[in-house]
Amino acid sequence: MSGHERERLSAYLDRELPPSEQAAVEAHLAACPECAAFLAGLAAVDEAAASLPAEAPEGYFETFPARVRPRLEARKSAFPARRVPAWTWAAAAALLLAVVTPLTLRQLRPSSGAAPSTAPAAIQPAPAKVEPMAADEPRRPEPTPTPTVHTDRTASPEKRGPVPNAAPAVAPPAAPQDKAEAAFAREPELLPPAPAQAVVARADTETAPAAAGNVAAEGLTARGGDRLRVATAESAAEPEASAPSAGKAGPGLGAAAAREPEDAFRRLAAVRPGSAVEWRLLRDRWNALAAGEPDRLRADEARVRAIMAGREAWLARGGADDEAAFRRDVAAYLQREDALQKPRVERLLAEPRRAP
Amino acid sequence: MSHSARPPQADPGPDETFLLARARQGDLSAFEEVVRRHQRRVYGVALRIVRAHDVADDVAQEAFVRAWRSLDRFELGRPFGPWVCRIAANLAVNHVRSPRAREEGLPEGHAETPSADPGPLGAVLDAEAKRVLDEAVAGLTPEQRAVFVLRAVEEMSYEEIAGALGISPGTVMSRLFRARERLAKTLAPYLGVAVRRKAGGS
Repeated sequence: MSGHERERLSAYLDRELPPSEQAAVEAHLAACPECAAFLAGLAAVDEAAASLPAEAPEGYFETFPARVRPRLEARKSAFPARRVPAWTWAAAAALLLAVVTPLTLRQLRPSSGAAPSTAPAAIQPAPAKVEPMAADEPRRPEPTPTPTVHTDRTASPEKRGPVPNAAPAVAPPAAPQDKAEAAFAREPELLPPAPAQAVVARADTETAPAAAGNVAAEGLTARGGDRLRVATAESAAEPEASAPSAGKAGPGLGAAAAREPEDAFRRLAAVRPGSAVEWRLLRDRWNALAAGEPDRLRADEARVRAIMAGREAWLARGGADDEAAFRRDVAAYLQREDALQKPRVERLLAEPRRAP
Repeated sequence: MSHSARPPQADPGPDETFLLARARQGDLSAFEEVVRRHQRRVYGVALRIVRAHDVADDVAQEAFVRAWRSLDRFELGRPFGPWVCRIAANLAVNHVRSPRAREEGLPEGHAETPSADPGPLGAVLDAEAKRVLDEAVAGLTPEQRAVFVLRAVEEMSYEEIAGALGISPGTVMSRLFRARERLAKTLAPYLGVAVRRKAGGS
């Protein structure tokens, strides 16, 4: 039988041939032991492949729904805004910025030149809501259009409240929510693109995400290009829906306040470092998160991710110190009594190298 | 000859339809229950295609987020599982095809925990054969692997697979054949023994 006809055997196995062909193949099979054997081989491959395990690390499914939920909540809060074209958010933010910036500048800083850093601070709404962002990015020059648009219209008296606190670029952010947040605050240059992504998330799909993408792009470019390219490439590569990788990488702002630990975890999980230095920082952040994480499963996963990030740092640069740190992390993990993923970590240790 | 004889996809049941109807009205807890029911399957599809836990985790989460967002386009009463699996498969293939995934190099093998129910042939395939098969599956192109997983494991029709991956049923047929042929060739030395052992009933 030719290759083409063997292809029909494969379709026959799946009962995907038209009835007449199905019957013809059947007749042929009865007379041809070679084809019958070939067919049996194909069927056996399916069966064997289906029997291969596809198991997650222990405890993974217990936390899975809870980890998905905040992302659904972020989606839900975006529903009312759904029919609004994406660009309107950017436009509204730009407009607001244009109006508010000169006012606040005049009010706060008679000496100009600090426009980019004061402007967003000036229009931030309420301290409680702003805090995580301030912790994330003390110097981020882009405003966060979404909360601005939502709250500022009604909150003009309060909006000047936080200004003196938030304006100085070097001032430490007020009380980060947990240790992981504190770690973010110390290393603002390696932040996941959460705020910018949130803009995309808010913009939702359906209608032109391009404008929101531009806002995201500016926000990210302002603090270093690598992750921007990753973020946009990612959304470009996504299938059916057009702008949806937002939810993947960045949480919605509303959910962020409510679910800090999960949020911190997801934000770290969304970081895609581009260099050994960034991998190293990511490793430290995972370790910091694990140290401050009361949830056992999440802490365990964070420790493993720290090890994996450390390994990437080593592979990216190949330095002896990175290797030493990686091996130290692995050893520490394997000694833990509460470690849930020892085989996975041992495998990382056993196959530390791969082709570059 | 042995047609694969696994049971057809489970009917969603009135219970799940009810949950999905609630979810469609914005009931997060109802949807969370739906997530709980389908998470293993969705994760399984993702993992078999992307072959790395972290990525499969991302893909599985994203699949549910998108399903949630598209619920108003979902026809109540139809099974939810295959639908969300198709979303996951699409995301998984797109991830594996992305430049980033290529930079990240070859994914790891399957997770370490052995399957609870290895199935009849699985029971007689020795560990070595499984390792060889696993590697052979990893060696397929992402496109072949996705088609193969959706057929061999998820038992979707060509039409469903074509819809999930945005290709024609004809392409499904030829990719699937090439995948199976390649796997069968790799596995031939082991399969003969296993099939005989299975037939012998030992």
